[in-house]
This record gives sequence, structure tokens and C-alpha cells, in this order.
Amino acid sequence: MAETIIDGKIIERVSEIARLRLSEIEKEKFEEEFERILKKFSIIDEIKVGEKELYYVVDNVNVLRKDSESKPFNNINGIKNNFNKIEDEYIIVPRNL
Amino acid sequence: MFTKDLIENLSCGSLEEQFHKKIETIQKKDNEINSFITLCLEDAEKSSKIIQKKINDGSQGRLSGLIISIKDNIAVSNIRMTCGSKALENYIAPYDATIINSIKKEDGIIIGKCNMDEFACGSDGTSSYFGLTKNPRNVDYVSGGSSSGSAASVAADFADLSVGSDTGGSIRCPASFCGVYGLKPSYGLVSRYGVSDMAMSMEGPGPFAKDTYGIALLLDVIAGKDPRDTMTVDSNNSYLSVVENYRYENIKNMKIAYAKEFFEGIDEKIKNIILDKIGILESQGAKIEQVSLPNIKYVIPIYYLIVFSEFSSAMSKFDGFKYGNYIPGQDIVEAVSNTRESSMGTEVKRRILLGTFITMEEFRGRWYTKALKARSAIKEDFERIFKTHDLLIGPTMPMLPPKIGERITDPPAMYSSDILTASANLAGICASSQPVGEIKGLPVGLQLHANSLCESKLLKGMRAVEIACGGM
Repeated sequence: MAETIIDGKIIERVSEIARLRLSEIEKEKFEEEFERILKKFSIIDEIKVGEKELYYVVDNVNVLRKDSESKPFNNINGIKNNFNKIEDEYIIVPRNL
Repeated sequence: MFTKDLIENLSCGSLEEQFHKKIETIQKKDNEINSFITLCLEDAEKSSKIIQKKINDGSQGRLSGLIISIKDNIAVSNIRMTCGSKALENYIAPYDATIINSIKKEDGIIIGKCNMDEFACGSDGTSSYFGLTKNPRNVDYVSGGSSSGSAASVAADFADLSVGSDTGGSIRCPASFCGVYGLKPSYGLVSRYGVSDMAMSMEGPGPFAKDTYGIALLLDVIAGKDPRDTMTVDSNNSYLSVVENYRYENIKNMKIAYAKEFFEGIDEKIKNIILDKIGILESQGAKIEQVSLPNIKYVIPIYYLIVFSEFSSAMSKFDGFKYGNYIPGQDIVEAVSNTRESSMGTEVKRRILLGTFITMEEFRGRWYTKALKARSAIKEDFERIFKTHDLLIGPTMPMLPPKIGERITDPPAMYSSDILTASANLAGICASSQPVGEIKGLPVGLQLHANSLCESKLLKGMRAVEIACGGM
């Protein structure tokens, strides 16, 4: 019997770190599913990756750019209107302290 | 060529008449198909009047009044953008994505925002908060996803062209299922500025059309360097002229590879149709050779491990403060957890949790870092093939579109349907799907791959296949 990858404790921790509340039913369902998914994905252990470089999608390299003048954004109200509460020039978000 | 004729008709006929015909079709049929989340008919009608005037004095842009639909993860200024999720149900995009700007400049008429799997998580078009998209070829079947509405809107003739996005097959899968043309550009060819991100190292927008001409035309408009997306590269290619200048005899110079692994475990009838088309290309003079992609069995794990990681990071902004509908709690942690719990679907949650797990300090080396390294092995496989061949040919999907209600919901089985498409995203190369036949009225898509930034080769191949299938 191979090692267990996921257990109830790990699901609890992950749900806390991910800031995602889960019901008891969801916890059980995800625990069982994640174990099966990751067991299947363990096949990547067969690839010998030791000497391989980390992957980069394009070969672009960092370049230094000249400072350019910022262009004003002309639809600030469009951004503000997506928030539930606005007062004068301020966006009101829920109190969190 | 269909799209070419359409443009010619538009330039001598009445754009408004065409426009109203489309609206009528949408109003008659989209209640059932559900390819749009938001229609922008007023804006579209306004632009059609302006473009008609331009056509009258001959000053219209390259898209000259073609009707275009846009996947709902791409920002169109002042139009709702939902990403198929409840979390963005009321979000109005405050600006245009770079590619939308280009489409408007070239006089494309944006008709609406297309349905999609929630945050592009899915390959059958059924996980949208706004309901599933049905397949216009047969409404008992799924449309494929995640760009479900883009493919369906073109197939149902609601739009002439569409823009979708492809992270692991999200353009090619629905193109194949709905029987239209779709192209996933090389990573970096098309700007992602204004596209809601899901897996930033693999995704990118790309065109849908009814023929190769339409694909090339739209690609010409959206491709190229954008200072707002630093991964973009220059594109001086005129893709449309590549397609227009293609001649039947050009096929004699084409070296096409096919990988035996792409035909293992797929639907026998699909296999036969694709092999038949390969036979036609060979008889017309293409050089066909068998090659091997030894690492294809690792594609699904590598792809999904990277998607989970990048996705969970991309989703962190949907916390009820920056985006999403805030649900209070005893403290901020509880409030954010409640907000996310109530606004996200199962597959989105699954990917966020798995992504969080495999990037945690103690598990990262075992999963995420290893997947990144293994990704190089996939890229090397393709590099080897494209050293000696122009194109790699095969099927787009291993199966026909599933019937609605009979789709597979078990995650490992669901993920495996991306087996033939996801490797192109891992390697950053370009790939396409086009209809080449049907089985009991359900379309079959043929997939071509070409090396990174070799879209001209890909389009030549698409044109060759189009001609081989009797296209004009």
C-alpha cells in the first residue's frame, strides 16, 4: 500500500490557507478526490528531471526601459462603479480590523 | 473562400441588413443554444451605422463590418464581463483589452460576450454560472469548452468571427465539437492585456472562424507586440496574404509528421477520418512521416499541476474586497472564506485547493517544481520534431462531443480529455483545429501543430487540409 498523500488535517489546512470555507461533505469529497488525482499524477516521478532547468515559456530577457510619462486613465468612474460603496472620492470597503 | 465572399458582399450590399439578419437569428435561436451571456446590440447597431458610412466612401478597416463575438473573460469597455462566474456577475469592464481596441479600430462589430466554463475551468461548456452552452450542430450534445459560446456563436451563424482563449485546448476543443475553425496562437504572439488570467504561463486569446481565411484575417488584427504585455513579441507577418497566396501545388514542399501516440486510445471512427485525410494530403504530394512523442503520457499531470498552481494564485483577488460580492463574517479571514465559498463553483474550488496544496512549502518540491522541470521534456519533444518537420498532424479530441447529461464528472477522467491539446500550451507552440468530417452529424476536428511563432506554416497547413476536404 502506497503512502497517503492527502488526509483530513491537510484538507483543513489547505482550506484555511486558500481562504475557502468548505462544508463537511465537501471536505470528505475533496479528500477522496484529491488522493485519487494526485496518485494518478505521481506518474511524473518517472521523468528524470534532476539535471533539467526550470522551464521558461519564452526566451525574452529582462530589458531596461526608459522612464516614460504615465498616461492618465480616462475612465476612473468605470473602476469606482464596480465597488458597492463610494463616498466622495473614496471607495468604502468592509471594516476588517 | 467564405469569409472573403462575405466581406465582398458587405462592401457592395447593406451592412445594416446583414446586421439585422444576425440579430433575428440570435433572437430566434440563442434562447436554446445559450452562447451569449451579454449582448451589446445598441453599441453594435451604432457601430454598424458608422461602418456603413465608411464602406460607402471606401475607408473601412480590415474587418469591414464583420460581426464578432468575444469570450467573456476579455474586457470590452463598459460592457459586463463575468468570466462565467457568479463572482463577477455585476462587474462592468472599465477599459478595452488591447485586442478589442484593435478589433474596433479595424471596424469589427462586437455583438456580445460569450458564455464560457466558469473562469475557463472545464472542457465541455457546462460549468458556467449562466447555464451550459448547447452544441448548434445537435442541441442534445455539449458544445465543448471552455470557449463554448465563441465556438457555438460561429457555428450557429450568430457571429462571423469570434475571439476565445486557450489554456489547454479551450479554443480547439469547442471548435472541434461545434465544427468550426479555431487557432491557438504561440505564447507571446497575441496580447493578454485585458484578459482575465487563469494560468499565465500557458494561456492566450485566439480566433474562431468558418474558414482559414477568417482565422488569418482576425489573427492579423490581434497579433503583435503590446507594451502592456511584456511577453508579447513583434509580428510582421501578413497571415492573410499567406492564405491568399497559397497554391495547391505548395503542398509538395510540406513535411508533415504524425505521432503514433496521438492515435492511441482514441475513438476508432475519429482515427479513421483523420488517417483518411492524412492519406489525401500524402497523395497530393505532402511528405508524411511517423514520429514519436514519448512523454505524452505525462502531459495531463504536468499540465494540471501547473494550472492548479497558477490558477490558485490568480484567483486570490476574488476576495470580496477587490472583486466579488462581499459576504460578512466574524473576522476578515472568515469574511473572505464566506465570500469565496458562496461565489465559486465546484471545479473552481477544486483547482484553488489543489493549487494551494501543491505550492505549500513542504509539498512544492514534490509537485510544482517537478512539474515545471518536466515541462521542459515536453518542449524538447516538439523541438526535435520541428527540426525536421513543418507540421505535426492528428485529431483534436480523442472523442466525439458527449451527450448533455452523460458527461463525465469524475475529475481524473474529465481532465484526460485534454490529452491531445494541452501539450501545445506546455510547449508554447501554435496549434489549430478545423472540421474534416462528421460521425452521425457530430463534427470531427483535425489538429495541426507548428513550432513557436510559425503561424504562417500552420495557416498553410490549415489551407492545405481545407482544400483536401473540398473547401474552396
